[in-house]
Amino acid sequence: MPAVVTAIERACRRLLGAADAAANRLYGWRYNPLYQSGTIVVAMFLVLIGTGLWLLLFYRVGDPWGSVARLTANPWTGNWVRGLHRYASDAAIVATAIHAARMVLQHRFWGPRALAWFSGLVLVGLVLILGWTGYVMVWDTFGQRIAIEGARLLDALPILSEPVERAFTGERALPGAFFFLNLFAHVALPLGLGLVLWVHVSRLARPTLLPPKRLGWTIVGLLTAVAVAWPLSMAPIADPFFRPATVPADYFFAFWLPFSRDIPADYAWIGGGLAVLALLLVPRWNRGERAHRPASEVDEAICTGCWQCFHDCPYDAIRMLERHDGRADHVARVTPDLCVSCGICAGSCAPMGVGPPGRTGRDQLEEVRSFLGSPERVPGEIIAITCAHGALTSGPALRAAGAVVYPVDCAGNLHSSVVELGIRAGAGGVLVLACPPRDCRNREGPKWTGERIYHDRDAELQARVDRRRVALAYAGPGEASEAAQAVARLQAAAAALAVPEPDADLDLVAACEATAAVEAS
Amino acid sequence: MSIRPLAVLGAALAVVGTVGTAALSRAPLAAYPDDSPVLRLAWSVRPERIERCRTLSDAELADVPAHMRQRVQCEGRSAAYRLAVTVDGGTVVDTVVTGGGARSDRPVYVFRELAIPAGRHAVVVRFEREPMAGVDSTAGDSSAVADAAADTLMAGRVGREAEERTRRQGEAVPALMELVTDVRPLAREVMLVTYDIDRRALVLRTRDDAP
Repeated sequence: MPAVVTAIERACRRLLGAADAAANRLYGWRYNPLYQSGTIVVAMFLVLIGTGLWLLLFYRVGDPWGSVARLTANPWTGNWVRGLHRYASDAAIVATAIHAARMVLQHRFWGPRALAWFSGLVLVGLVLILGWTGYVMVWDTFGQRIAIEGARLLDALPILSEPVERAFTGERALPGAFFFLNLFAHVALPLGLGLVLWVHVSRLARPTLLPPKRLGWTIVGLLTAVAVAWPLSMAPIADPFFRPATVPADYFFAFWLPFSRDIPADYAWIGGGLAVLALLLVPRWNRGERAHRPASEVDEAICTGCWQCFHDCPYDAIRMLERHDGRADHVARVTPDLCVSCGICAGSCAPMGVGPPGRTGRDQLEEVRSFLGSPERVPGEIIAITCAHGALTSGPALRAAGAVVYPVDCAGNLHSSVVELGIRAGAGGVLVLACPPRDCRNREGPKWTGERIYHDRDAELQARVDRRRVALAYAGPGEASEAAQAVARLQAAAAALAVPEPDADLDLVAACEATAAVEAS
Repeated sequence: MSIRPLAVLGAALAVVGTVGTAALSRAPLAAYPDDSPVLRLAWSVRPERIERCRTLSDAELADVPAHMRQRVQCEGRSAAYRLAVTVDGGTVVDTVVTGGGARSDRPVYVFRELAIPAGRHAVVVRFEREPMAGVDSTAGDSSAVADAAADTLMAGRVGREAEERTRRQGEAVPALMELVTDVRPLAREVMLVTYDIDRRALVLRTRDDAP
């Protein structure tokens, strides 16, 4: 990738991190709307279906502008529903833009996840067409303007024998069939939207489709409040014999109009085509180094057939096959075409028999042993295990707070034995700094890590580890002060305890294998 | 219960974001920056088909498969038309238009929007068939051709063919149409010149006599 693009991307990522951190402070990570951008789009889609069905009851294809004007004049059951319908569609566009930007900047669409990117582009196209049909339905001056511009662009394609533009010249009255077709498209397209949405999330094991109720209802409430407090008005009826200077436009759906209207239609298509091509190629030029990492592998001699990696994999990339060698009933098998090498399975396997090459639990133990064996280590210090995607950017703040930083690829990959080994080596405490759960690059890392540390999810942190010396905190990029505060809290807790004695006698690999064997039996 | 400043700031930002979204949803957009009136030329007509016709002899007809036998065989092409517009004597359009499709045999579609200053103007719109060399639609007169026997499939075929050619010619646009008129448009007004199929002529329409 050219250096300038990399620099721009890095600057944008820093901006996104700062925005995320600010939103986390204001709303908390659970209700951070930037994290929930994808689910907000789905919530708005549901609002649009609900309000759209209501508006449909009053719409007349024989009198489009008149029927909408009557609806708009009704403050009780008309105007605010129409306002909510419009604002929900706008909010969906805003959330879609944020969602797409996040995915691009976080490199979350290469390999098997490219399907989500391509289907996402189709969804955006469908939403824009839906918006176009929705505004044409009203047949006011704005609807007429985008209809004429749409027809002009369409007529540049050699696909129709009769130019569509002719319908809007005033030669004859616009037929009801035009509005019927438009209405049909406006009602039928959401069905296609639902289908593409299913494809969009099909590579995910447990897609989250809706935001937390509190956030979802807050957004709907705010949009409703604005629709009531600032009622929509009707623009003048479309008139082919008058060219208005301005029209009240919805810029979320008509953003293209100022660009296209002053250039020949051919150029508009070429420009639009190039933009779409660039978007289609995004997964190709924006893969990053991680895209080249190998898929996870299973060491079948170690696998106990416990199914935990199968349950934890966020991408359904692990299957459980029957086994006939007398070792266990089943054995895990990775489907490389679906694996994105996220490494979540490495943290889920008690005997450390699965994971991407070089990043299995055993590899992690090797690495942390060499880290702990360094002469720089001091008994009683706080080790901050930082996720490369998030808290690693807070390294200087963590060191300033007195912690020693141990970076890992993803906190969700972390095998609990690494934490145990840190404590056994004499650390005063081990702080796992994961990304906020809704912002995990590997979807469910912080959730599984939390359950492994606190709720005995396989591969759990063993009971023999003093929980007072272990903490899990969430900190995304740009949340250095939160990370430092978490260090201070753990330091205070550890200070109340006796200085730990290093105890490296236990063979953790053997202990994990023994635990897994007992659990499997 | 104390109210946290961050909560107030968060709520205020949410409200501002929502109101901003609503504002961008109804912001004025420059639809037509130029306030000149417009003379819009818009019509769609079937071009005349200019053909060279020839009457086939009985022997030639016998060589053709039964279902394809036509006594008068015509080959030709669709006419092109010269569109010329003058405003106050000055030519603003002078171009040749042809039918749509790869063979130009689809309807001729005219769509032009000409900005003219507000006020009184003399407008002449002329739509005239271009001369085409080497074709002659009057050849191939079949009136003298004897029709086939009444008890055969070809009975009455000659007459039907002639009727069909006449019908097609009747559907085509006249070889010359000219609209000479005075207009007095207001700013931003659109005046439409179109083809009236009943009068088979170009007509001027304004908002007052819109369909």
